Amino acid sequence: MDAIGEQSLQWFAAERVEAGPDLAALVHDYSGLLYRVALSLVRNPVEAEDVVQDVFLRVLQRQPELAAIVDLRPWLVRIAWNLALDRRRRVRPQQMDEAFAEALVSADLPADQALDEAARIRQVLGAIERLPGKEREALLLSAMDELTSAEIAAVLGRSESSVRSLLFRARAHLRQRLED
Amino acid sequence: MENEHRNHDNAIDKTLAALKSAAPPDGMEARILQRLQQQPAPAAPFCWRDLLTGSALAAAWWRGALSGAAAAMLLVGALLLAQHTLRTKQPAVSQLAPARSLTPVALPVTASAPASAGCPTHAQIHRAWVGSDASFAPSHPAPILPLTAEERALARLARTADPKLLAALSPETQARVDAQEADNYNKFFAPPPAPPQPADNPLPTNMQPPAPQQGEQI
Repeated sequence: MDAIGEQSLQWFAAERVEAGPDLAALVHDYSGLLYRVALSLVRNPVEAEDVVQDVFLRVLQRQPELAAIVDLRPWLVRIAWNLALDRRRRVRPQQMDEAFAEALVSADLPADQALDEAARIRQVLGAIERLPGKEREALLLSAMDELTSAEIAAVLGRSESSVRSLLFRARAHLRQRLED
Repeated sequence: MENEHRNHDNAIDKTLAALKSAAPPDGMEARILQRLQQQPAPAAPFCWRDLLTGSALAAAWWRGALSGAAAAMLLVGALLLAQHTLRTKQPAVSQLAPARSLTPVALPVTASAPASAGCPTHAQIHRAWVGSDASFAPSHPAPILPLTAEERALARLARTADPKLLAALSPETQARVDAQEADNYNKFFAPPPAPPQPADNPLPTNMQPPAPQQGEQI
């Protein structure tokens, strides 16, 4: 971490945190997860980083209430999810699919395989985009290993069994669309 | 067919795995922290409130206290309103009392008045008026007196009666009707005309027996 980051961490630890969890620690622990959650929706690294930043700005505004929040992770993911959904209405994720798919391909692959892989990922991303909204959201959240089905249910505001059903249907529909 | 299914499943899994393994850009944490540092500090909560008890309990206490205060204010307002309504319904004391003059009494000028003795102070004026008859002056317009029984009957009649009947209430009309009735009465009960006095030839000419003709023998 660079000097600015170190300085910021010290500043938060020393002055800004009065009660509840340390904001710098929150950034350290959850920024990666929140970035991936946002990226799965907006498919643009810059937009996803903006979403994460907005999440922590919201957290800073509500810092006095942090101590009362029992489970921080679903709470933060839910904020990131809603902000990413808002941002998704402004940007068009489909336009990003080509660059996004190329970015997702492993750099270790040879060029020809990387192209095939990118094309396949782009095809899957297009099919995910055509899924019904709730199925798509459940599928994308399930891609995050850190989230349990209970946490996904909490983020989507549904029951666990409903989330499992959505996931099953999403995979079936996705398979069907890829076959077409 | 199964191969195709497996290929699709593999593609889906790879895409989801790629999404899962996406790494945040370098320096993102530092940029976020720097941005947060530039933000103004959030508004401090009510520390004096939290001094009483824990925050949740204090919030409940304050909600209760504010609700109670609001309810008390409403109650007092309702009582004052009810009292005012009762006062306006009762006849004013000044109406029962004989009318008094509203002229203010002469202002007492004391020796200990301030330098501007020629000009009475507000307190002096107030004291003089409070002690005078002005305090008994009616402060509200006199309430409307209730109708008498006759007035009520007339009002009811005016609302419900036949217009002809109402017109008869006019003294002139009533006098005319009375005169006509008296006239009718007199006509009806007038004594019959006196019979004609017997004259020399009581029968009319055509009723007289014919005169005996000459040469006729009876």
